[in-house]
Amino acid sequence: MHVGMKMAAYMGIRASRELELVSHNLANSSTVGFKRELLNLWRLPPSGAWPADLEEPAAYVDVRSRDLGQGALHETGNDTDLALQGPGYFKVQTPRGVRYTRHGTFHLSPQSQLVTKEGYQVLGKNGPITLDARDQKFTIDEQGGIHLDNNLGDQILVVEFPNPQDLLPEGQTYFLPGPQAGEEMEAKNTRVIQGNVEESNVDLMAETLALIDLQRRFESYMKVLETFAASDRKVVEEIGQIT
Amino acid sequence: MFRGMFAAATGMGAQQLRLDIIANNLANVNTTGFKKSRGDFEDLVYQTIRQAGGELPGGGQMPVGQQVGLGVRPVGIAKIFSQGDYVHTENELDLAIEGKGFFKVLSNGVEYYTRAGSFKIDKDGFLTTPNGDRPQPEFSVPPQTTYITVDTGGKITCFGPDNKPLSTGQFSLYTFPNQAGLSSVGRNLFQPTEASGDPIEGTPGVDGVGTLAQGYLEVSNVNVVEEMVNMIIAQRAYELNSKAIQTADAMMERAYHLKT
Repeated sequence: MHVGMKMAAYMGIRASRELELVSHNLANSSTVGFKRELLNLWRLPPSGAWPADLEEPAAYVDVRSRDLGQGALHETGNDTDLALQGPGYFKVQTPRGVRYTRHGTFHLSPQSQLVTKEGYQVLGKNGPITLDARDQKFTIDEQGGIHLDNNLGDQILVVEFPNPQDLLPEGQTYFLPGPQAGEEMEAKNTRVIQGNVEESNVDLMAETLALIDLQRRFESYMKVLETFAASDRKVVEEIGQIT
Repeated sequence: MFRGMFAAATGMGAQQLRLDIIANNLANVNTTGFKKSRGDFEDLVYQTIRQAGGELPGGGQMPVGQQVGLGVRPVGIAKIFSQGDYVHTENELDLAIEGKGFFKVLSNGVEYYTRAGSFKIDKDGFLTTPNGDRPQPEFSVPPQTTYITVDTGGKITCFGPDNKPLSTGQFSLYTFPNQAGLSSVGRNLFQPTEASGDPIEGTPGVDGVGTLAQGYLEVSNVNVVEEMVNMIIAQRAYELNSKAIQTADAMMERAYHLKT
């Protein structure tokens, strides 16, 4: 098979993979704390396995990343809705272990603990956070400190990673640090905004453009494939034919 | 491509649910004591296609893995218990709660909780909601009553023709550890669930359950403009998800025509 044909086929498959990503982003355009996923094409360094007088065809590999840009803050008026402004993550104790999330629509459990939508405990500096908000008004400051009747109580833990791109999405808006994510540390430049949620940073306009672009690219790769196929057919059917 | 189609289909489902919630909020924009809802969504599990740290062809290591997401699913519909605005009705039996509390009412022998304080007097002289459910503890208004006062602490007093108090009673208010966990049963009533925790009784103005305002009603906390904006966004997002499905379809058709 022609090298070019292989390349066109690969790029076609890649466009369909991009479509999967765009669909996923569009589906999550109203998921709180969602970060849009991107697919990048990396050109690999030459392997050197080719003879020096031939030009080695380019080899590519797909790399997924996340657009970590800030989502818009949306005021909800719920005391336990917390939005993060900055690169940090909340730390949550799930039955599978500790996970990280930016989905800050929390609730109070019947035991007055701050929990996620599934009932998992949100972790503070001293472990799970217990609030008694029944007869006291509580406020949460931008550092995550919890004030009950103006007395500073526990502090919500907000952490960040040196390489947040390697936080592996697990679904349910939770992340698990991958091997390259680095050690977690206390977030310096992240503010906690009470009574708000961070909307998904999916830009419907950008996704629409991506949709049009990938479809046209897919069609042109198919055209390239057809051209190769047509020239092959010519070789097989016409050249060498005894007339 | 099939994964993309299904992901977009889950997106359409999510926007549909969102629109259902908006429609219900808008329908109740004038309902006394109504609390708006909001859909909460989360991303579905990811399929790992390539692990991070894997060997690259031509040497080197993948710094990040590759995972494909499979769409979205609704995780819950949360009631938002922010305070609604107050309207002055001058009706002596209209009571608004300023704070987190709920009234307890008895409907067909079952206890429910409500914030809609537009009370009436039934044929037996008892205080009741417009549906005929009596607030607990029951309070009977003597027939000779000319006017009724309710103070911020929940003390209700009926006065006779000569401005003498005929009878007094006391309203209790109830709070929940997690009021977002209350189950809404319609008719402005809520029922405690496992998630909300048990009701805690309190006296208005004393136990932080809130105070009462006579002659006022708490209107719904739905903001029409906000709901309208949400409706526009939901519709556009729905359309774009359907576009993604159409695109997948067109691409598959194009690939199919390769082999002729």
